[in-house]
Amino acid sequence: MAGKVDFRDFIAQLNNQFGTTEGDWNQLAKTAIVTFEYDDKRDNISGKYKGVPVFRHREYENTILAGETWICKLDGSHDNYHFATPVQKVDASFLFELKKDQIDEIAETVWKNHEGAIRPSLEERYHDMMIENVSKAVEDAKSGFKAEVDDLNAKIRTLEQRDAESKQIIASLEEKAKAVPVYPVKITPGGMPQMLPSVQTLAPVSSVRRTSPDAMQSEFFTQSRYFIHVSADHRIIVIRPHAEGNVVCMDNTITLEGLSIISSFNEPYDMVSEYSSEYGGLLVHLK
Amino acid sequence: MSLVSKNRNNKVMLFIDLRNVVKSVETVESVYFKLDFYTLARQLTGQRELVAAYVFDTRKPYGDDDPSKKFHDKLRYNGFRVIARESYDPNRKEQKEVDVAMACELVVHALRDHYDVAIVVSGDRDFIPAIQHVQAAGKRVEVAAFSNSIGGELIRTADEFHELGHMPLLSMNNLSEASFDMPADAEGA
Repeated sequence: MAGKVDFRDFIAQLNNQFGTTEGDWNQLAKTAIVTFEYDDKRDNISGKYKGVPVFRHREYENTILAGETWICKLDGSHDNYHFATPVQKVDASFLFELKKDQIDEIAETVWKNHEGAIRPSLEERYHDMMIENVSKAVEDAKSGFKAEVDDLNAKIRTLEQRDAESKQIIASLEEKAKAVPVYPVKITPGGMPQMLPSVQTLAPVSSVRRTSPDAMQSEFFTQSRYFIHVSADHRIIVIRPHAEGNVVCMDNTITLEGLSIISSFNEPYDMVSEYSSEYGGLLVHLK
Repeated sequence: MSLVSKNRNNKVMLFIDLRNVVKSVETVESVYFKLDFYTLARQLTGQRELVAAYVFDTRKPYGDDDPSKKFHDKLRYNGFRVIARESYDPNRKEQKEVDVAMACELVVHALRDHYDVAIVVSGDRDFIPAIQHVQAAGKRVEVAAFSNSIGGELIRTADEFHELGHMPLLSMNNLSEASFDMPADAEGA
């Protein structure tokens, strides 16, 4: 249990703690919180402090309105009335300027002392507010989800449309693929096969006949000029039709003086040949 | 067959050491068969994009009768870039500067990212250091040569080796005049 504290010692202790002086305490004794109202005749505005009327000091130039509460400095020279010089109006802005811990402390004190009176009012007020806020939040969430669902439905429709288009394209390509003829193993008469990029090689065919040491004959030799190249190891010959070719063909027969040098000849025979897309012409195997 | 995959989008640049190729094909060429450089370039390139084909050779100084001029002009007509150095030594019958010039072009174009694949048509192992530098720059280097003119070291260095002897590159003709002429007195490689 705390012992008795001398008031003067207490003041001195506070002065040391907060750096105040005796004069500051004298000022505090003359400070009061006053609420101003109209008098009965509604002519003047005045307040009361400890039952004593408080009037606005004549030197205070600003206006005080009825219903305002001010922290005032009182002129204590009269016993039956005071003249007040307003220092700080006590209103919402005054409260907002308080620090949070000060507001919390005020609210806690008010709540502790007047919970019974405040609770019904707060419950009624915030019940409606809560319902309103929750309803608004639910509506916002609903509208947000609805927009998201709409977007997803739009994407689904787009994907379904693309899927349908892809299926149409695939069906079209399948129809085209069915319509493309399969290249036969044997080269069709009537001309040399041209470049067929998708076909690597066709199976060997005996379409070129060696008729003499220097001559080859084939029903495919229908063009007048060809390019003919032989490998250095004398294993293969490539025959390509070309308007600027340096080998002349007559009567389906190509005569090359050097042919007997690279490939011996005893009697006529069919040469193994195939179309080669790699070389873009007829590939004839010599060995 | 190569471990390194080929890409049809690759840019190919061809570097032909002319005298090396001519020297190695001498044994199989005749009046009936001539090496076709245009077909050589097309077959080595395949489906890929050929961005340039360089041919390196020597020539005599201007004013002299250069037997190679006609052949060089024919190559230029076909789209080759012929770089002919005036560095032929008639006394020793050998070329000078050509290998270094080709190696410089090979490396410079690689470092300038002008190609993805270099095809060196030569069996000369002097190109191995240049090829290794080009490979270190991230480029693929293929070597093409006749088997009688190339050693194992160069084949192993290349990312892929093309044996020209197996490819149909010798042009045959039955016209009275050949479509092109190689220089009769081919200078020494």
